Amino acid sequence: MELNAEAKRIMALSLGKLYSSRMHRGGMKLHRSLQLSLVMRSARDIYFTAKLESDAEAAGRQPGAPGEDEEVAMVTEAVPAQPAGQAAADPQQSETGTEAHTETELSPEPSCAPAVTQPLTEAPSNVPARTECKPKPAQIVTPADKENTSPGSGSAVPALASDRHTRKRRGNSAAEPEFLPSKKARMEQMKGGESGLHSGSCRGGVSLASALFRTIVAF
Amino acid sequence: MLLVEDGLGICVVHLSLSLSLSLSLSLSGAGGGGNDVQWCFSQVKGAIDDDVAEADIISTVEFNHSGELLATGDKGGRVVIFQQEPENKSQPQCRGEYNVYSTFQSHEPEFDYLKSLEIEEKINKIRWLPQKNAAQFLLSTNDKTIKLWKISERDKRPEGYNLKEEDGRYRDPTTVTTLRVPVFRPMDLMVEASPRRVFANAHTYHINSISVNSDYETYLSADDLRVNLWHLEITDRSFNIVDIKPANMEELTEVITATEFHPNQCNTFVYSSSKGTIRLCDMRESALCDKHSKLFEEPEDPSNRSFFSEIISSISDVKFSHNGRYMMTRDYLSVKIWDLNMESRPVETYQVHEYLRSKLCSLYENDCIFDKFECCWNGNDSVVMTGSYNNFFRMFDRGQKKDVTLEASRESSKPRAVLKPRKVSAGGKRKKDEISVDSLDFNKKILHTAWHPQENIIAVATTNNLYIFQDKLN
Repeated sequence: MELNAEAKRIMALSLGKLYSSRMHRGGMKLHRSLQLSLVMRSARDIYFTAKLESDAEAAGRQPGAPGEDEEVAMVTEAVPAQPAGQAAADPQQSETGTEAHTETELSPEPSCAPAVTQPLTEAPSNVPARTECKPKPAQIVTPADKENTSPGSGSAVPALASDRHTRKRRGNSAAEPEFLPSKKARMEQMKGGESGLHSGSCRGGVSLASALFRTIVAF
Repeated sequence: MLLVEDGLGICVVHLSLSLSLSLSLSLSGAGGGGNDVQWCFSQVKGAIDDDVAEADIISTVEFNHSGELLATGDKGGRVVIFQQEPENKSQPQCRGEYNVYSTFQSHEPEFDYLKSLEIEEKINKIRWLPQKNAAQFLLSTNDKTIKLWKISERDKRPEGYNLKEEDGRYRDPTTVTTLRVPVFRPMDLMVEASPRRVFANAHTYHINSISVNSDYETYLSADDLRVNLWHLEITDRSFNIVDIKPANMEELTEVITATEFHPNQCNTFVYSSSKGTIRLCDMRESALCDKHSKLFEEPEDPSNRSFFSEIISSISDVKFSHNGRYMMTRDYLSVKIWDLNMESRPVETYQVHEYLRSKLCSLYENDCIFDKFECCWNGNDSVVMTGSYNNFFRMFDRGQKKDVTLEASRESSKPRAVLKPRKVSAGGKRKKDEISVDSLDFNKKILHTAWHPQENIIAVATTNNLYIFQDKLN
């Protein structure tokens, strides 16, 4: 749980740094941009790994869920606008604009298919074009992470505070958030003979960049 | 007098006549001894006030080959050269002080109109050329342009011109009745710096290193993706010898972070990468040295994996030992010594500030994790030194397996005051005189240090001050 919140926070932080580095005298430093993108990728990978575990756990707990998930997965959004060398077997992902959703509470909202983390090679200046799904509620067993377990380091985001934020926000957007396209339309589109879950086609939509940007604004 | 044998050879020990009868190993000229040496404050250069002007931030420090001259470059594009005063005959044990010898504006801010980008005037590196005649030469570089500067002394001037007055005004020819031959008369010493060569327009990315070859004719310059070879006499051409730019920039995974020529093999150089690898290249193999001769890489310790593992493994500096057998690399948390004959792992690893490993997230937030620390060898390759935070710097004695943490601060800046070793408490109980990690000042960082090539004299740059320390002499 904390790990996911931390991962999201680091992604938002990195994005902010990337944006501000454009203002630096002397122009953007290639090395620094590369390092920022590596951290973002690390954070994203850790986030998705944790999500995967939580989804697997939840799936184990709710035997009826997987089928439901699949259907819903077809329905939900796959977002990334830029291909950036992604393989065709792109996992279906839905977009969430409100990164603030956490996984601490059971929610009646539909979840997306487990996100398979794929190693992508990306340019330092391109923000990884992935978003995460509306998280499947579950307690994530966080793997031991050295710097996240440091007590009193002042660096970990107090999970409690973000929970408070997110509970509030979730209340507001429990109904369909306006940036998500309507499910109905999507289903009709999907019926048009696509390969279902692994459709590589993404609706040109909001990229991770703006999704995370919204996070920064929201925070 | 007694003869004492230790790990560094046989030394002659002078028993002092004072009541304290302290034995000290006299290692003058050897430039060694990390922990038997007591370091004393010698001088501090730069403004005292805490309000630091950005242009005064020191960005590079370098001794010349004899150690007589010490050059610093700053963010404002200026180079200041200090010269060591000759040893005082009456006090042979007291080494000369370093005083300002020459100051000049090396680089100015420029504007790249094509990319609408400003080119910073900050001096990234200074490298001295070995002295061949009365003048001194150095290379200084900013992000895009390298310049060769000649620093020469003028202590005589011609006097007694026929057509000119002493102040330069022309005389009325009709007043000239006799002819005389102008003669050279002594004048106050004047040190002039003049740019002899400008090596420009060869780098698309930001230059991070320059290195003079042991042939004293060529040098290399490196940016994030390319290494170029220059001849010191030729400015309109350079050879690209390494190019790691991928065809598709989206596939970029690593950049070049530092480069250096081997100290005595003129065909060999190394370059380090942001992935923590070092490649050794032999220019005899092919014109383009994309294929390395040796790849030095240590497998990552999986237990240390975190969000930031990749970026803290980035090498910020690489330096060959003077004897050319070893090279040293600096990454964010450690210093590693590599034997050039063994690529699989370093022969020695020294932790500079391991207590920061649990603070990487905070250091990422305040951008400190991107700091590029340099490192240096002492004259006989027995001790290595590097900087840290809170104006601390660390020395590691390779032979004695001892290390020490010292601080460059105004408080310990009394003449010949011995520096007290400092200690950082990693956690839990904090002993007396120890500093806790949380009270370290991360704005006070020592990125640049230099060691005199022969003596135990070191130059340590804090943000805008240059500290000179030397070992205690009896």
